[in-house]
Amino acid sequence: MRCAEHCEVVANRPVATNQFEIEIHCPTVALHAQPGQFVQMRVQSGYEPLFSRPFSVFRRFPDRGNFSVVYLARGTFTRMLAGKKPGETVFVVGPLGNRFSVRQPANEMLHVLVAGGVGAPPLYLLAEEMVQLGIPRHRIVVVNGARRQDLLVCQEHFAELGVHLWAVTEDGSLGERGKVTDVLKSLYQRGELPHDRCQVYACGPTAMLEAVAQFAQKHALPCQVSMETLMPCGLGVCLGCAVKVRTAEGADYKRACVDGPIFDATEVVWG
Amino acid sequence: MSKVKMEVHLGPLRLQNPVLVASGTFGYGSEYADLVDLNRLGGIMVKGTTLHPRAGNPMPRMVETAAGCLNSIGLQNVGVEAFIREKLPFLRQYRCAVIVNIAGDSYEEFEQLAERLDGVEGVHALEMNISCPNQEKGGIHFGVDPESTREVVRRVRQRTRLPLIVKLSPNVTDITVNARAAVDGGADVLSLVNTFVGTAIDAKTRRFKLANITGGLSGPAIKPLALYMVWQVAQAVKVPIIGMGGIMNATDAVEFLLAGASAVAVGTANYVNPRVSIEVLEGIEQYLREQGETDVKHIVGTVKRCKPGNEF
Repeated sequence: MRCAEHCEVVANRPVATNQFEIEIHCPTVALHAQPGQFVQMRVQSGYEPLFSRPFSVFRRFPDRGNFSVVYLARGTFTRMLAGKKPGETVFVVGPLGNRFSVRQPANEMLHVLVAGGVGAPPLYLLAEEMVQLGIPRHRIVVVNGARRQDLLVCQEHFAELGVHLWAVTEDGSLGERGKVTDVLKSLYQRGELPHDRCQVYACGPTAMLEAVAQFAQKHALPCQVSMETLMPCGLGVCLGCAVKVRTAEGADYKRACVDGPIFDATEVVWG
Repeated sequence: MSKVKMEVHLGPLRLQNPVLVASGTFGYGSEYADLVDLNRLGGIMVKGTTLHPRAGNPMPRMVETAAGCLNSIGLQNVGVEAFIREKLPFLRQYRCAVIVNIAGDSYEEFEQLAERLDGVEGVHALEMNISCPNQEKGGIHFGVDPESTREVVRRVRQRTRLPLIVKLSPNVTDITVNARAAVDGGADVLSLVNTFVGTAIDAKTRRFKLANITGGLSGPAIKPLALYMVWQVAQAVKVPIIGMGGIMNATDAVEFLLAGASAVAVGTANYVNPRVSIEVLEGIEQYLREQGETDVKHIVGTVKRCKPGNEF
């Protein structure tokens, strides 16, 4: 079930430096969005910029028919989005794409959620679902990374869930100094990432995803990644969001918007 | 509310209304079916179809530009056999026309495609893509050289009884020359325009933005150019025209009808608003009522010269 309609902005609040959480009244997305899925949003009536933009769903409030996304106001589109006030409307198409797959939800399974910057919101929705599914909180490990403390997203929300949470910043302003893969390496060296009982889920910049995918492959850890590309249509039609994947015959293209955005990390041809 | 007649005949092709969705912007229809009532469309021009499946060009292959976009998809598609087997059964459920856009690298490929699709249930017309700018061979070559245009259309005409639409390239000096060549070859209908060849450069990285360097420009940025070409061709040939190029709303569509198009195709706008084709249809009907017109055919080609204004 998905919709394409003008929806009312309920709230648009700053959550960190240049970061906002926009809450939108859209019962279809509020009821049906799954962790990893996204919506296409359009805020302007003119043709600059022309296309909608994809945003992963962060929180769902089915009882009041709302959902929210977190975004960084850094480009023309997101600055326009930041200017949207409660009562105004945005055009929403969604929910779109596939979802993170929670495999083997056995008690002994360790779920490692690796977030980079504004890649954190869909992983928060995933962690929230895992908790609701009854997965023990100590079996949910979140490695939340950013360049600086003020760019770290959803940290307090993960903390409220009571999951095993690591913060990592490149400048060391909060948590571990370094990159998310440094924390993964450290966990692995301590024997805390058993390859036969561990699932990695990653969302963030492509370079981070590639590094996480390489780490997972090296240690035989199953890993799902959320691919970020320009998605002009979001419906699998324009083929502008193609992701190169391995096939038995060699390589092919899949569409990030409908075959993804979640892919098995071993399937993606990186670089 | 008074009812206006929306049925149009494009040569042998009958459409319940003049609003189509352009090839490559609406997939095989199923992608939009839960958001758009396909039964209300005049027709669907399906994704460019080749003899064999194609993977398409390397990424990145789409770039947003000023009021438009450049694409170099490279005709990624499932191939004609998979289209007939896997995609057509879905489309047969609907009453809108199904127009298959065919693309070949050679005369023979075009002929084989036409022959394969001739008589296939649920295919109502062929649109020959002789103007795709994103192929290494074939594609645009047939569309820019009038002799090649005439010859490829002539050969396809001999292989099919289906209504034959020829999609013209705007990347020529005088589009009317190629329009006449297509009609000479046997085209029942002309559709125009395909995308304009362009490129985009990232000044920061000093690199082209598309892996293929060039792509086809579409979107509202090209509307004035497309509109002019439709008007030019409408003066030059007698066959019906399907106008397209940057149609974003009903007013844009009406402008193409006034310029001489008998039908319109909505393209890039489908990416921006999945329901735009229905909005365009409803908007044309509303326009006709407001203008006191009873039949959409009555406004085709009725644009008049503007009156000279006061000088400042």
